[in-house]
Amino acid sequence: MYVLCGSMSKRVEVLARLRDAVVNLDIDGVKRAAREALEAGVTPYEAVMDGMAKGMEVVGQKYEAGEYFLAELIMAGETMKEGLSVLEPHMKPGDMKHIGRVVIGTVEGDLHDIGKNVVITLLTASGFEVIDLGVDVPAEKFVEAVKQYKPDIVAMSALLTTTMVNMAKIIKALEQAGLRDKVKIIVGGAPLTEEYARQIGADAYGRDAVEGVNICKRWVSRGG
Amino acid sequence: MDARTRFNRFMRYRDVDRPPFYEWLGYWRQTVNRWYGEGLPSGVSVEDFFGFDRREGVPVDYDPIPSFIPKLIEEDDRYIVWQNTFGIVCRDLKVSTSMPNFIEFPVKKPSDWDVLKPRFNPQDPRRLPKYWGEELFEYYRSLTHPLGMGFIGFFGFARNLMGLQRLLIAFYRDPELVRDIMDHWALFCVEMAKIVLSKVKVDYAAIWEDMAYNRGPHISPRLFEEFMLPCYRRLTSTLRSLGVDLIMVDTDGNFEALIPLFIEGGVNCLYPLEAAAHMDAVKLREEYGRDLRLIGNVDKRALAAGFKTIDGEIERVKPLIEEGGYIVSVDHCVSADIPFKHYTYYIGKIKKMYGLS
Repeated sequence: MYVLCGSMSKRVEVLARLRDAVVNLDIDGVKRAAREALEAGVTPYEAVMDGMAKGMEVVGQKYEAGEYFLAELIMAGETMKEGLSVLEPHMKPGDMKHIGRVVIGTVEGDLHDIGKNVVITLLTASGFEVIDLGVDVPAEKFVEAVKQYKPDIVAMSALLTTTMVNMAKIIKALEQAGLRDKVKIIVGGAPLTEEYARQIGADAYGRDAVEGVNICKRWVSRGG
Repeated sequence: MDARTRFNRFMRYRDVDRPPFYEWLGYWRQTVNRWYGEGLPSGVSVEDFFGFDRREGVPVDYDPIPSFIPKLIEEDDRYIVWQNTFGIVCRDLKVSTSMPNFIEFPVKKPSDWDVLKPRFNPQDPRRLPKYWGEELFEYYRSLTHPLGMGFIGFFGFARNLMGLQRLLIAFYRDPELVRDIMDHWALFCVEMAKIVLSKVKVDYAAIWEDMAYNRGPHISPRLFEEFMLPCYRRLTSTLRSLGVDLIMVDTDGNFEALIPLFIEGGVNCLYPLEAAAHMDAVKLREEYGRDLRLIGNVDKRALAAGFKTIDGEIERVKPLIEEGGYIVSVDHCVSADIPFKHYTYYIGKIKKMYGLS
């Protein structure tokens, strides 16, 4: 019993160190904690989901509170990647149980990708499987991707007033293909508003990457 | 009253015949192409058609010298992939003027910067135009419209070298590299200012940063204070000692969190104040007072929407125009979803307010 408690407390302690290393953007710390987690018998999946991903949640909260900015969001993703580099060689196929699947892309005519890439980092850190369609993605490609990957969520990004109009085209194309009710749709990008998202028939608008990912997490936890 | 006198007086809240009349950030190529089919006479520039006041910039070459060879790397029906003179590999859509997708940057590690640094020497005479001399100085002295000197800012320069993502990570993983890049650039800009402004009197300096997006600046006030504030102090104190006291920063997005630090760093004018990023020129004037001049903030989405929303926008910023120290302009390049008739209506209203035909 004592030994069990001891190893439980060691597990809790090392998961907390993984979490804190991500929160504190500590690359050396996260790699050290990842190695210690493996030595303590923590599975790679637990180290990711119960350690580092918890850290990303705190990072998201700090971002929303105005304490962290884009640099810290990206650095947290980088820190988590470094932790993963220690854990991944110890993962077996099927170890990572994803909480959901997202198809994401920047719409046709638009080449911006920074915002999309931050969303991908946060989605992956939260346990989503992400299929990145890239930039300048036409409606047909979104439709094909939904048919092929059967995602839970389609996420679209646009950074120009002249390209955001293509989001409505994509939603219409999904309707015409009989796929609209198979997915939740979230949109984001500088010129967008909640009202615009509603007008075009999206299910949600993410003001920023953190809010967008939180919406996606709520959807999959409720079963969409 | 000529445009130069008008601009300088207006930005210092002195009496003028009318406010300066500019579309400060200009137009996307796609927009002008659209308008040629909607009533803008072929071959006539938008500026000439509407009779905007003129302004001019001293041409300084901020590229690495020798520059990278601008070259086409790949082309198909839809894209061109090319390297520009800064060494940045870009992918552009052939069909529009969206911002390009930046694929590769010249500085990936500290040794890349060590190799590139000597190419940023302010003393290189090739940075100035071939006609740099007394004739040009006399021309500038005789100008009846404002003359500005542009600078690439410290974040902007580092981002050009490394790309945004790598730069943001470098603040944490390689802070000495970021510090060295920004300090070198501060030295460069100070020297460039001394070289140019010892011969030429300019009416304003404009520093391009682009360091924010709709939800806030890319970096925290803490990082700005540590890495960029010293650079700003050095450049703005030099500019002021050389007679330039209108110092502007251009950054898209919402950079409100950094405004107190920009001001502390010697900046006293900000643009373009993107409305979609919740920048509000009226609120900024209330908060910071007349010491902070402003340009832009007319919501491009309102111009796209119609005459009523255009009227609303003009009403909103009218008190600033009447007070002075604010140049009404669209909150970024005029976008191609704005019909020519909407823009004509908007400009017509502005011109009527100014007493222009």
